[in-house]
Amino acid sequence: MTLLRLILRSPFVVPLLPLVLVTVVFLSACTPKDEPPKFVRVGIVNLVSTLDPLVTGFRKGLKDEGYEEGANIEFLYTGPLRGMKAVRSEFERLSREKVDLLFCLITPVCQVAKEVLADTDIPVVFAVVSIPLKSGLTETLQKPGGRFTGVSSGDSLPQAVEWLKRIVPDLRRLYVPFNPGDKSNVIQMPGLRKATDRLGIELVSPHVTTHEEATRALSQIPDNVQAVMEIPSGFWGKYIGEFVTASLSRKLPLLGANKQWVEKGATISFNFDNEATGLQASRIAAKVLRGTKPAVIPVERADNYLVVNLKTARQIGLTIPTNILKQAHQIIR
Amino acid sequence: MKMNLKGSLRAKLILVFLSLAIIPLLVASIFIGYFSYSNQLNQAKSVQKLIALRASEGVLSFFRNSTLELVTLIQTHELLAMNHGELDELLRLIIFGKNQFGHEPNRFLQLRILDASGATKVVASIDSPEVSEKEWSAFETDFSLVTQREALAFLGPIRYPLEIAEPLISVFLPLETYNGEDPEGYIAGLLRLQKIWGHLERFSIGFRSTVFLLNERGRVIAHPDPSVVLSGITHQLPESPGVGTGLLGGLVLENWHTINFGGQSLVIVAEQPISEVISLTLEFASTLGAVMLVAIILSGLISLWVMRDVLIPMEKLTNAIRQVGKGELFTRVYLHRNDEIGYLANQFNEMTTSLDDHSTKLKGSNLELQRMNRELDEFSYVASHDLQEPLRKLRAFGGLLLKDLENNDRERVEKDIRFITDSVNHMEKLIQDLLSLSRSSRATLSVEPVALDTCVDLALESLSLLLEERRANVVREQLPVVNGDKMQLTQVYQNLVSNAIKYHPGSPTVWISADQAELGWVFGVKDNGTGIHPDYHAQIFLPFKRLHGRSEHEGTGMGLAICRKVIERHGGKIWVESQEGEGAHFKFTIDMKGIES
Repeated sequence: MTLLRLILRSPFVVPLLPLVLVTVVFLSACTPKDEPPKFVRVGIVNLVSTLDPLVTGFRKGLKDEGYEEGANIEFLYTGPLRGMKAVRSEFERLSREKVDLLFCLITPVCQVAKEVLADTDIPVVFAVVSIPLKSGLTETLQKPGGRFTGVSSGDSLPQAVEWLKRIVPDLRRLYVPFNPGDKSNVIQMPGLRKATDRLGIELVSPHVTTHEEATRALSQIPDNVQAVMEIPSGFWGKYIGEFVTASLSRKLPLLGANKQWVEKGATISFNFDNEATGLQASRIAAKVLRGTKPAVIPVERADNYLVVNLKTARQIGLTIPTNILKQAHQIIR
Repeated sequence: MKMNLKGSLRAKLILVFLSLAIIPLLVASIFIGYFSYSNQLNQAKSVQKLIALRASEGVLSFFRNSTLELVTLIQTHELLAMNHGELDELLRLIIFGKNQFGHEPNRFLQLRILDASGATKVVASIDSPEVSEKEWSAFETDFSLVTQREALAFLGPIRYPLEIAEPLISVFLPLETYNGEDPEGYIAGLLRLQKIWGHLERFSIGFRSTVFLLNERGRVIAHPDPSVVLSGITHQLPESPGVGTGLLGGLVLENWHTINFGGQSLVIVAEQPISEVISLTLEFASTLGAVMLVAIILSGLISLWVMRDVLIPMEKLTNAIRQVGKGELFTRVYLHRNDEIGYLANQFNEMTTSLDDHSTKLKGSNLELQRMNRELDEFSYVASHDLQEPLRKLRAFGGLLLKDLENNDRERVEKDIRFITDSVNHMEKLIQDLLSLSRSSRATLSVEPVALDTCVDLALESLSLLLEERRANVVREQLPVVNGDKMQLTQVYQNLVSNAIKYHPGSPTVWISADQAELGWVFGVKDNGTGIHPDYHAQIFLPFKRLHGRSEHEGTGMGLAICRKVIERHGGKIWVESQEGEGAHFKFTIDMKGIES
């Protein structure tokens, strides 16, 4: 204490203090600012279990970008949710948790995000949103203008039907069960119809709204169709088994929604790749996390890939031309 | 001279310590900092150059690979002889095809076979026909530029159509170029530059280094952050690589590499914020700063400690010396140290102790001298006064004797002679008592343990005639043994007892006592005589002081003066407690400690 008092009483404390201050300021100014990314929390909302690989790709991509789970990033993801109510309450929860970024999958889910998060400033990266402009998530694709940006899945349905036509050249009637009560079905139908019209294909699409109607529609496929397809949607995602069974038993080529369908027995699919899309979205998410405003990050579109199941083709007695196989991204043998 | 020395010493100490702590560090750091800065800058320059080179190789190979497929197609197929379906399949194969050599599908958004006029013959697209026509519309005009060029592959300007949301560049390859005639048709493609973004991103070091692509006019056409491309900013490169203003402001280290392909000149720029380039130097500087700060604080503390160790004792000593100078000889400096400064303080203390002792002794001697002088004055006054009286009588009775001898008056002559003899006797007594007083002052004390009872015995024995004559009664208590001079203490008792008897009209009683008081023994000689008025309690101890005429009581007035002298030489005090008519109680103390024998 005596020493302290002595120091304080010393006439040199006064000139020493500014010297110390200057040194401290100098030190703080000189400290390198190159720090690892700060700790962030990312909420993920997914309604479709088949899109889980996309979430995996997203997480892997962020890891490649330097966000190591546990070290500087925490994912708030409870797995695929059941129903839109759960989606809403999950968004509400994540909003309360004040996450740094939200990652949402499929259009209806992201539209809920827009509603629930209206009063917050949490940026949102989306994926598997077919037409972000139409869904009202962004102003333009080049400059989204708001808190939403991400990867659009584009409208791959017309192209998919074209691929189907290429492997089934005599396709004239296409069996497409349609649920008029499902928003996703309704949105995609005009594009599909336009494509089939252009290709000279007649759509056979029984209206289905209930489970019974759906199973009946798939067990009673009329004889005069040359192929079957599913309108990619949460509703039809549940009937993958019924579609494949019908395809095999009736020896009808089946155009599946994506690679998972083909892996489970659909003949072909032409759509985005889950993991690749997840990686693509993670690049955008990393930019947002590092401070770029979502408003100026253009919406990227997911690349679509042709996947062919040669085994199924053989089972249903379909020969797929070699030049088509050359163009396929993946062939399941 | 008031503490200037102290101030300057402090300042000097602080300066010395601070310079010792900082200057070597500062000099070393300036050299090391300069070398490490220039080293890092040079190193970073080479790295940036390498990055730009590698990135440009990647960009170049992207364009080369993409166009090479088309060139191969042209060289291996008679495209113009093929039908629509065959061409469609070939183009789709390039767009979607994938092989084991890592050919990347979806590089082209669409491919077209054009005739010599630029009209589309066949389209293959990753999008539906409606969408692909919309996409193409933005690039259709690029065809007009192709004919002005003679390159094998021509790249159109980079476009970023709002509705497509990704930057595209048109590629045109003539279908026949060998015979020098105008081509009969072209393959046109829309190349997706988004694929290059990822490529450029991979060249970023850390999070703050950037690789981007500029076109001929300096406009940014590819950047890891698409918003930079969207903003349409241009960047002016300095004349030579080095430190300059970055694309987004701030000081950066820039290096670049230019590639020429398909009539386009593209510049791949690698830039890194200067703060990151010299981060090692900055880290070094901050570490050094911290070390310097610690050094400053430490040296400050050490200098303060040294000051405390040296200057504060010096201050104390200086103050003490000043006190001594003012005459405060009892000043002491307590430092409780075993070093040189402690030794100095001890020497100082010894010096002041010795000075103090001498001064005390001098003061004592001075007081004694003053007292003796005063006594001598009084004594000579009183002695001359008292001695004059018998002399006057001698003179008077001498004259009378002559007269009476002339008259031959024998009776008167005898009376005169008796008076003369009486005066001579008195004078002799006075002189004897003076001698006695002088002896009691000067004679060497032979100090030894003395039983006071013995002294009283001797005194009473010498007074036995008087005691008997006056039928005096002496009451005695047991007295203690003290250190003192036996003869002189006997003299004290003899004088006090004889006074007690003398100043009593009848048969006196004398009480001899000793009381143990707080500070030692108090001895007493009490009588039931005439007593003394308090006004005279002090005077009676002066030589020749008498309260009564010689006719009333025999004596020279030296008894009590001798008593006082003896008691004082024995370190004690003598006083009287008495009222007129109530007897007198003489008391005295003896303290032989510290009294020289």
